[in-house]
Amino acid sequence: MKKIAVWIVSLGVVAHAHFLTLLPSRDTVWDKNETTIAFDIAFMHPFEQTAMDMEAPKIYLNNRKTPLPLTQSRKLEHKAWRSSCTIKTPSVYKFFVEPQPYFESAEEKFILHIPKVIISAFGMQKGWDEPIGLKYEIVPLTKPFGLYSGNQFRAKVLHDGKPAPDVEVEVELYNVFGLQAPTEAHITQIVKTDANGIFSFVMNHKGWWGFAALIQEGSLEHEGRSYPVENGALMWVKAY
Amino acid sequence: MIRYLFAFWLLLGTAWAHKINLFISQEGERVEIYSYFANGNPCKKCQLLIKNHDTILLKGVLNDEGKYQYLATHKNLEIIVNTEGGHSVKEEIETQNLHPQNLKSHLQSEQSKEQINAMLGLLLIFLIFFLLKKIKQ
Repeated sequence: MKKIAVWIVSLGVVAHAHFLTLLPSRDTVWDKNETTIAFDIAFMHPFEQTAMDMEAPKIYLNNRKTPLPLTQSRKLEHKAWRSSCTIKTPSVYKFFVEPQPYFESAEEKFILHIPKVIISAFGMQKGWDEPIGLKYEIVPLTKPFGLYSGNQFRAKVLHDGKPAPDVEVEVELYNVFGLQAPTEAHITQIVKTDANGIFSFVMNHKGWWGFAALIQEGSLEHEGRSYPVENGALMWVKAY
Repeated sequence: MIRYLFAFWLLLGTAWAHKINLFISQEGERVEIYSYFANGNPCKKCQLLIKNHDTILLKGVLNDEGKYQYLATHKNLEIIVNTEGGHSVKEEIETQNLHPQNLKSHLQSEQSKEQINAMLGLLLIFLIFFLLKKIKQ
């Protein structure tokens, strides 16, 4: 009976997608008096607004040569992180987070998601469609800022710089609106990349949308056993 | 009617696509002017106009990087950039750490420029008369 109960709980956890959130206080910078962007970094289920503890990640601007400061915080009663960056010149800024691998015992795997977010400052839009050069990366084909709800978001998934076909992309809304999903199946939307690694999704609600392209590759040790790694190329996009 | 609305919408879209931006930064009395399009192209050789209320302080041209460095002489500046195609952007700023001495020296140099111009004008007129007199002789 106990075994069945654990199995049911595990199944429930499996049904909910994990997302590493990297949410900036704004997706564009226009006002010279408001050039500091704050970032909320947490490991969570964004639609259901439940979280897990997250160990200290690293956050970078544009490349690994430019780390940003990090402070510990709380998100949904769990350990999370905050960072900030002050924008000084017009440009397109790409932020990404490298977390420590998270062991998910229920799924018997490690989760290693690298989220990124792209911010335009002072009207500059050059370069939003260029990759940072991450091992697993979502490169937008739709301008990833200044979007409306109802817009279609198109992007390409790259694996080692090459298009990744037939990859599952999980999509969730960061649900701060108290929306109730009709069924569990509605919480995480899934689209797959085509032969060119391209996927598209219509964001039907305002708010931050998380896209997680999942590629299982490699393994890591936990208590003497080897477990597969779920690598995630994540991207956060805001619809107004 | 829908056709006209669509055409208007297209025109608006085109106008936005060519929108120029103006980014002004200040360090003391030095004002850095940078004008660019959304795609990152600089506003090359675009016309620059700097005004203090209704007084024109400078009529200049941006360089190939869409930039201009201006030494502020007045506290309130209106900076306007115009493209050949008729697009325009402007911003009003209040300069910081402006030294009154600079304003005084600026006014003096402007005054001396006017005096030099007047003297050159008089000299030119004198030369013309002198040459005419020589030709007649």
